[in-house]
Amino acid sequence: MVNPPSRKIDERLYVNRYNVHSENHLHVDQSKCQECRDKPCTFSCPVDDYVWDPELKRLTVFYEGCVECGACVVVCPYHKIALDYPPAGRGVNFRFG
Amino acid sequence: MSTEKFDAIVVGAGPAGTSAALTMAKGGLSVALIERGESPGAKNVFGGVVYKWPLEEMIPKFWEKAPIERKIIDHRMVILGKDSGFSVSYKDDYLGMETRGGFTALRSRFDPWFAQQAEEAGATLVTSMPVSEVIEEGGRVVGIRAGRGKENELYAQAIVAADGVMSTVLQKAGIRGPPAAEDVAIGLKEVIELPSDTIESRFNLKRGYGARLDYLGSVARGKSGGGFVYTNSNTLSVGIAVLLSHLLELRCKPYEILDEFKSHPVVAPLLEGGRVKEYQAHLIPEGGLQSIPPLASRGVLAVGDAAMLCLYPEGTNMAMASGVMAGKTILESKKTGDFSIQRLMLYERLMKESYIFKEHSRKKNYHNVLTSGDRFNTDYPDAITEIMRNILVVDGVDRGTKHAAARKVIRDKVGYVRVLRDLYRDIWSALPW
Amino acid sequence: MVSEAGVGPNILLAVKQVPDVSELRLDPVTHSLLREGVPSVLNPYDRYALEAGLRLKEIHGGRLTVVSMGPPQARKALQESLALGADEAVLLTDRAFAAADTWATAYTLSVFAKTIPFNMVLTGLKAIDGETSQVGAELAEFLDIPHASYVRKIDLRGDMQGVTIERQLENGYDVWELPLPCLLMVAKEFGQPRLATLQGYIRAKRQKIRILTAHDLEALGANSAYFGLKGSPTFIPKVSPPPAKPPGTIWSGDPKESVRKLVDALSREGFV
Repeated sequence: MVNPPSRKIDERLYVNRYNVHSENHLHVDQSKCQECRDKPCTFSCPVDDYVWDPELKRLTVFYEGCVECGACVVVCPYHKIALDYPPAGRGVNFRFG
Repeated sequence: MSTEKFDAIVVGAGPAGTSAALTMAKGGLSVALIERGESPGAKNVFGGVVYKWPLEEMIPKFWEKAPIERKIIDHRMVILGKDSGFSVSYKDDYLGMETRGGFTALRSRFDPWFAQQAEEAGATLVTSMPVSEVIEEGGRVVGIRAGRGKENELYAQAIVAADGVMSTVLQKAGIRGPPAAEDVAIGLKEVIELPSDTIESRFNLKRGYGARLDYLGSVARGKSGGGFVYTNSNTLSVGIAVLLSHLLELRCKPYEILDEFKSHPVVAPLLEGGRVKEYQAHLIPEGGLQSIPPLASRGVLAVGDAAMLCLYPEGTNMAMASGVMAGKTILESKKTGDFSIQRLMLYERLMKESYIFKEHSRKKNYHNVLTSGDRFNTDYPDAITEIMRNILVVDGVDRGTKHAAARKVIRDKVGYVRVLRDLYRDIWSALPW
Repeated sequence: MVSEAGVGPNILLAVKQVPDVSELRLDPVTHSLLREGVPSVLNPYDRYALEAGLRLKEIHGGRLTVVSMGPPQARKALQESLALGADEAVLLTDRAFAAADTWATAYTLSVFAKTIPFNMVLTGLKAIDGETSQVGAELAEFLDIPHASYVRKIDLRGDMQGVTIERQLENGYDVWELPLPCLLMVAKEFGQPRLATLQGYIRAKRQKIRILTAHDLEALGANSAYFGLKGSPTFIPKVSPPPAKPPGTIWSGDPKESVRKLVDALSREGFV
């Protein structure tokens, strides 16, 4: 079973303004995920977008809460994550910034 | 359809890109300023301080009209121990005059205003448009793409990459890759709402004036990181930054560090009763001099975070200054009609003579200090706490004995030689002032 | 006025700039929407109407004019419409138009509509701020033309003499034939609206938006007593939130056990 993102993050994201695009903009090539020891994307992401499912051996990507920081791209030891920004001003739009 | 060519395309309408666009538009160039957010600032995150220089050079007396939150007159540096804080502060109304000490701002208000100045000067601002590709011809970048088809292509004589630390333009042009985990910090920030009266009484401020509190020491579980509390009109910008490579060593969630910072006994009372209005995250260039990519390469000028120009705690000023220099370079090219790659190298020369490079050179050890400076995050804070507690508790032990104990703490925790070496060298890289 | 046959339809599209729903707050005293500091966007329902207009234009040619009544910031919605391919944008803006209800809004829009030739008027189904779904129908009445709502498909006859439409219903759809000119309120089932292109945006930035004030509309024969707040017969005595729904039930733990409980509950309620 996939562990849903922690409650705390849900509460945090609730205050943000999102205009969620219908397509995922976080492209993950999962060919290396199984052998990836630390899976740094699962703890470095400030909004818990990446959750590893140990049963299905698969990464679930909750792109809807993405704040487009790029940490996942930087920390992936196999360089298998690409961040395409959502089109037409979609995604997060900070009210304060 | 239209195949017109702009003099310059600026990708990203943050402080760096808008500075470049404004500089060029004022000089009569045709400029397209392309922003991926719904409006400028919508995708941006920063700590919260903008500086008088070089904004004033572009917009004289900006402080009379810019969306300023508070003019900073109180600068406080706090070295956090596990449960304690050692502060040094400087407060001076002089710093508040004409925003000499900088001012706090919110990006969603400041950036649109700033971009509007560029628009009024004649730049064409396009929002909600993420640039996804570069168009190359004859070994240089001649345009950009923001989606599929000809209708999403745009050409120009020169391209300014002002698209931030993850710069799509520089990556697609092969000028640099994504930054290394050692070269960026992950910054997390919350905007916390409090009544302006409460902010003024809590931070001992007059109306319209503000304080910036920068926290060092035990912020990120002994790793390289810092925290901040900046005062806005009726919100506080509260955040932390931790070197991404250190976060990987800690193997913890970055917001756990933010939560620890917010609940630190020295910080928590400042935030009490506040309501979180926004939660943000961003990568901050921390690589220093050695991480700066080729500044003028293949027809692309890299500015601001895209060029990794950021030196804690300054960033917006360097972004703006680099934008101005890129703008001036392209203005020069326009004058001579020579947009060759060689001619655009002028930007790199201007940069190397500038404040930005002087600062980066002065702090050339900054990155070393960050990656290996555990003593700044653990040893010194611990020593300060031990010494201050011992000295400040009046318990009948004479000061002479206490001072001797203090010397022993320094000797055991850090060592005299280390202290002298740090004082001579690394401390100037580690401190924000 | 109706344009001549054979040159493609003249389509008038009425759009609204609305506060982003995620930001909505009500003034506790006046019960009106607090728009200040709230980012404004093109009403999402209007995007479907705009898409309908653009597709008709692609098939039949003609001209698409977009009109909006609103504060000067409504330029942004119009600019976006231009970026997507509208030919002309008109903003009706004046303090006198402020706080208009649906009747006054429809009246004001109708004054402008009567000054241009059109074969068809398009609107969104409703605006996400007020959600009244009234302005379209009222505008049709002021223009004395037939209208249809929940429109999901539009087949315009080449001779510009009529239109066949499909109306989305809960359990199916209606097929209607309407004469021209008519007003169609487009539903989201019409299809995914397109995204603006970079070149489209740049062209839009250079296009001028025609501004008409209360004075201008009076010169066109409008009665200024019907503008804005004073022209609005609607009075809102009180705004209250909808009654809270009873809380849902969450069964956690063993999935099989949870599913069994769910099936039990559903059969108890007579759903299965």
